[in-house]
Amino acid sequence: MRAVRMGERLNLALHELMARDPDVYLLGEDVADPYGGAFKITKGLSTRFGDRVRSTPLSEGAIVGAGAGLALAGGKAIVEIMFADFAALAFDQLVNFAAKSTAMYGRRVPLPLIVRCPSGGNRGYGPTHSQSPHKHFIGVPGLDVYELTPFHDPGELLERMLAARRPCLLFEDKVLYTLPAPEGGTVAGLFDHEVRGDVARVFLPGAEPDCAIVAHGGVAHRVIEAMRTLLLEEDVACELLVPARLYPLPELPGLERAGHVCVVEDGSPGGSWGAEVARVLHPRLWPALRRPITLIGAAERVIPAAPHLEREVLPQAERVHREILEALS
Amino acid sequence: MIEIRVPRLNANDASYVLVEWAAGDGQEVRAGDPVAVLETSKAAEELAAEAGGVLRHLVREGAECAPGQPIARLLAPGEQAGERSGERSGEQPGEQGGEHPGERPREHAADAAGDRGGEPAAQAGAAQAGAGPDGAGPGGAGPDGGPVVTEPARRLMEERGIPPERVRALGLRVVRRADVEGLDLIEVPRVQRRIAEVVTRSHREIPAAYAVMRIDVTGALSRARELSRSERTLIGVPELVIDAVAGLLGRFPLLFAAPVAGGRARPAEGAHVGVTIDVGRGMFIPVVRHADRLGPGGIARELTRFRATAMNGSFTEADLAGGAITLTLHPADGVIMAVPLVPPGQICALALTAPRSEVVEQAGGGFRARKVVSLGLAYDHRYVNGMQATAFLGEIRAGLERLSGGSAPI
Repeated sequence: MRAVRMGERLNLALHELMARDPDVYLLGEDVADPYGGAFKITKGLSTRFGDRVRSTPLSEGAIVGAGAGLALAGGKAIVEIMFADFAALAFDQLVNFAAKSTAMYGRRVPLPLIVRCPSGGNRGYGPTHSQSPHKHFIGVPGLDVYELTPFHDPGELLERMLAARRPCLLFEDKVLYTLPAPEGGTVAGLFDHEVRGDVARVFLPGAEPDCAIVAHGGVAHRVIEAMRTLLLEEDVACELLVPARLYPLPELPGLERAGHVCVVEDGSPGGSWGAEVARVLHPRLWPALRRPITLIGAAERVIPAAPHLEREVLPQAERVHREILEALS
Repeated sequence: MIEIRVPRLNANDASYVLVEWAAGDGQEVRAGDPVAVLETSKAAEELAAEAGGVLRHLVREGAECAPGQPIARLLAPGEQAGERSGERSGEQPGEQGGEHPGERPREHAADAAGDRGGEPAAQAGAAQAGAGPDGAGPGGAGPDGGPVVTEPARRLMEERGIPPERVRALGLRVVRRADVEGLDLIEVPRVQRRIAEVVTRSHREIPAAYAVMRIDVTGALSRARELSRSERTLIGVPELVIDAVAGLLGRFPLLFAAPVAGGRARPAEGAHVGVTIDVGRGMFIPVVRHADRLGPGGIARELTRFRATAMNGSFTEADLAGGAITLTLHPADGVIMAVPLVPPGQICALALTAPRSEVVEQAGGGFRARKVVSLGLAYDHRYVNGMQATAFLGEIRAGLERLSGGSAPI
């Protein structure tokens, strides 16, 4: 049997969610069939659920505003932003309208809204279709930030976000769409994996990790490749923690055991998600840390369209391997 | 259902070994029945059931367990046991994907790349190969069904000429350099590892100075022979030294005290003297409690009990706890001096050698033979200076040299 890709699992999860819950609406550009969304994540939904799935005009502000309105009016809205980069166009609706609406009317107002944002590069799409703009939405009271990971069930994640009854951003790495979900057994033939609460953990059984890595779902595969080469070539054991909710950051277990902690992200440096993780971890781990937390992210450059140049800007497995080795030496 | 958790048995160990289940899995036990034997680095403790019920083991014999960890459950009759603690909880993300028959879109997200005029980057392919599911189970992950061997481990095997079978026999999924290294290493017993921690800490934290005094025990030895007969137990110089040391608590309280941060010390609650016992099964320092109240006979009986325990059984934490000062014994023939390490939490440690003969000139001319021992004192120089140390040794010496056969009972 062909391995199920993450994009298919997400599509299936949306099908199941809309079938189960008649209050769920889906909005976005070109989401209706036959196109089914730029990444085919909404394929089949308009055929099956009719008016509850709407292709919209090209205005991210209007789409998110309409989604938030639907949610305020008692529905549940899932909004697709075609590329996460375009979420900037919906910034005001997200930050000043959706996030604030839960708390500024004198009583708690539920606002079940998921804004799905295909993010990340490594596909040669150029400067404005390859970004990971997570950092712009971190630290906004009333707005939660999530990301799809190879390990968390997408259906459960969608349920959880709607159940939170407040606006959530869900970043979804475009390369992750194309990858098979791990099916039990080992990861990369070496590591075990498990999901506890919000956090997926990939680890070498029985080993005290030399380095613990915190990463978001989109970079997990590149980090695992680095973990594989670090182990096989250098005998360095790493443990990976992948939270599904990126903000507010959930409890990350077990980091005290590691000699070193490293955060890997696709975002650019400066006020980044990685910096937020380090901010939360430094006071907690201060007595256990032997050196400052290492941050590995994109270079401080506009993402080039040429694939070989893009590779240099975004963190790849080789760079993660090299930087962890340097940090440990 | 009641969970049986590991109690904290001492202040030093992060974990203990469950050496034996005293009651079997599924066995019915009554309140107070022993269920398991836990071994700390130095002692063994029996764990009793708080209540009655059917015992369900959560860990196997030989497992390391940390204080607070649940190791068993006591179930009411007919109650179901939950998962074993060793098993993983939480979802298995891989399992759900394959469970949904029926509607599954066929051609998929990968086309998105085509729609946008790009191909999934080579990176995606590489990551996919790296992170994809792997059918091989533990111990069979390598290409030939053997373990995966890291490059540093493989180099070490080559360097030491270690054949693959030996590594395979480890039964590991991934063999690391430390595993290969472990093949040729002498495993230090757990008791010794604990000693290593203590002496390392002592060496790091306690700036000790040392003085040693020669003591004439000719009279003490004949007194000891007399006492052995009257007390009907074997009494030697160590018993007399412990007796003499314990009697000095009132005059030298600082030497029995426990250091406290800020250059202060907490006085001892009694003349509890730790004594090294090593019968070849590791060194232990059981404590003769209130040694000043026992007399040489009582002290001798305590030491006899300790040696029997060291030989046949296991010390309890209570045997080993609470020492205020330590006497290390160096009975081997020919040893003329030994420098003990001061145990953390104490200020002084004494070291006693076996009696040896020496010939001394007599005041009135001529020579005579006498028996002497060396009694050394290592002391924490932050609290004690040479003058107090030698005064202390001098008092012990005076006490021992006063003794003779036929003297008044001490």
